[in-house]
Amino acid sequence: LAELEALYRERYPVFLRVARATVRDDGAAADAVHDAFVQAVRNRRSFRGDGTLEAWVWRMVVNAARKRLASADGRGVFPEAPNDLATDCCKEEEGGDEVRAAVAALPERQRLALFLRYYADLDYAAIAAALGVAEGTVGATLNAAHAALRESLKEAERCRS
Amino acid sequence: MQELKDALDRMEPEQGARGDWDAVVRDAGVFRRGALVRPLAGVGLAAAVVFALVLFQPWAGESPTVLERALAAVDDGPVLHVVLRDEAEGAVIDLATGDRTRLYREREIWFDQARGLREVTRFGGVVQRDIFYPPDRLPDDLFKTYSGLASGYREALKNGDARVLGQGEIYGVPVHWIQTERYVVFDPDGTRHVWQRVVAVSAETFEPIYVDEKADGEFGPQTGARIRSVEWLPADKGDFRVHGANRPFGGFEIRNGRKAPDELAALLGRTPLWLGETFQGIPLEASGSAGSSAAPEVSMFYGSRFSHGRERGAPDLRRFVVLKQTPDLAVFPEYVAEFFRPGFVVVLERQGFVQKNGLYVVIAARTEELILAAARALEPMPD
Repeated sequence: LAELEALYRERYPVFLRVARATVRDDGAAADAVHDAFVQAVRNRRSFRGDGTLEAWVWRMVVNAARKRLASADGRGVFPEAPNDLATDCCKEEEGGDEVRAAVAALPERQRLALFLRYYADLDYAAIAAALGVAEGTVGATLNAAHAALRESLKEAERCRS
Repeated sequence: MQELKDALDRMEPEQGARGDWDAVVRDAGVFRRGALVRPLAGVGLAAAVVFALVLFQPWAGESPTVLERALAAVDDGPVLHVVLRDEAEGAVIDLATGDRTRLYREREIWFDQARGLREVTRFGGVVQRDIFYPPDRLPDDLFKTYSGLASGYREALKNGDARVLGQGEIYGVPVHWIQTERYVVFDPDGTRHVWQRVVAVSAETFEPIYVDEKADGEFGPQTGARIRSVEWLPADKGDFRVHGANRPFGGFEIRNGRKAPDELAALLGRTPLWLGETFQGIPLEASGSAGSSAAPEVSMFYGSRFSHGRERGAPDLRRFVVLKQTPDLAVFPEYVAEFFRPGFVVVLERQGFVQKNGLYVVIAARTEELILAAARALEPMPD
């Protein structure tokens, strides 16, 4: 319990940031992190130690955020991105909005992998554990996300110019 | 790559939120020091301090939670050996003074999913039944109940399903109430009900001392059982051999009509006992023989037998008395024979056992009061 408490106190802003990026709602993000830690506390005896405790908790946070997003059902902030987003360059996008739109266009797994990599600074093994995929899949997923994002951002830049 | 990181940072800036760990712990059903001490404030500072010291032993480092302590008090073996005292109880009542001594029914169980279940039922310390069920013939309700106690309680504590519901007191012992199972069920009309299995653990030893069920937050009538002792034994331990023969006792054979007193006396070899033509306004409806010539019995029925909505309107099931009498104690199983004590009536589950004028009489009635009144009213039947 003490380890979970330390993890919570030390890394709460990071958990919240990933949850916020996922559900795009402050309250829902806080609820998701809360739910995940409640679950972690209740199930702490089932943690077998075959990965890090943090990776184990990340999986719960990711799942809780996914669940929150699914339950938002229409109120979610990641609406289905249009298929032709990359060519829809005449929209006015400001600040992070064009990034947001580009991220929104990514498949869910690529999106979550990005958040876990850049916001949580997790290595591939921890991301794999959190997403429940093979470690080798993480690299491919991130590469695909990078490529798609670069393309989207380049397109946005081209439109602006 | 840095460009991408910067873009993501702009999209979701880092924030300095801190969260609420206490809320996490509370919602996880784990009592912590602060949460428990607060309710104790009104009890009195000294008592609270003593209680807190016993409960948390701050000198021992980090305080384990209630659930952790409860788990620590449970052994790991697969064989459950438990003695339960049921809420249902009986009494030995002095017919002259009315003084009551409580008698309890206890069940001693050995349960092993691999070997089966043996259940010994005792009333007032006297064995009533000794039954063994092989694993493939276990009644479903027994299997659920005892597999739950054998492993469900322990597993619920281990896997986080268990929840601390609060504190209380039972049989004068301070306890923590722990929920180990919870189901939501619906009536056909959609009404929602919550069913819970709860275990009380001693606040001092954290061992389970009581099990019960709750429906919609309320304890059921006579659903609880006090745990007199419980242990979880290694796989090869336990006593699964039935020691005593079972002679089921129960049921009263009532025939229509009434035999004359001299016929009944001839059957018994002595004057039968009765309650008069009416007892507390209840008429004698039938009297006759039951049993064999080798083991003669006389039964009498006070009440309205044929009143099921026809001759006499709705039956009043609270108002009946059945007497069964015999001069031969061998008619009864050994455990019942133990209940006949001159000058006393032993009441157990709507039956009273009386010894009078060389006859052994079993009285069946709805309430203990009616049984006691009938036991006192027994008198020789006039010719």
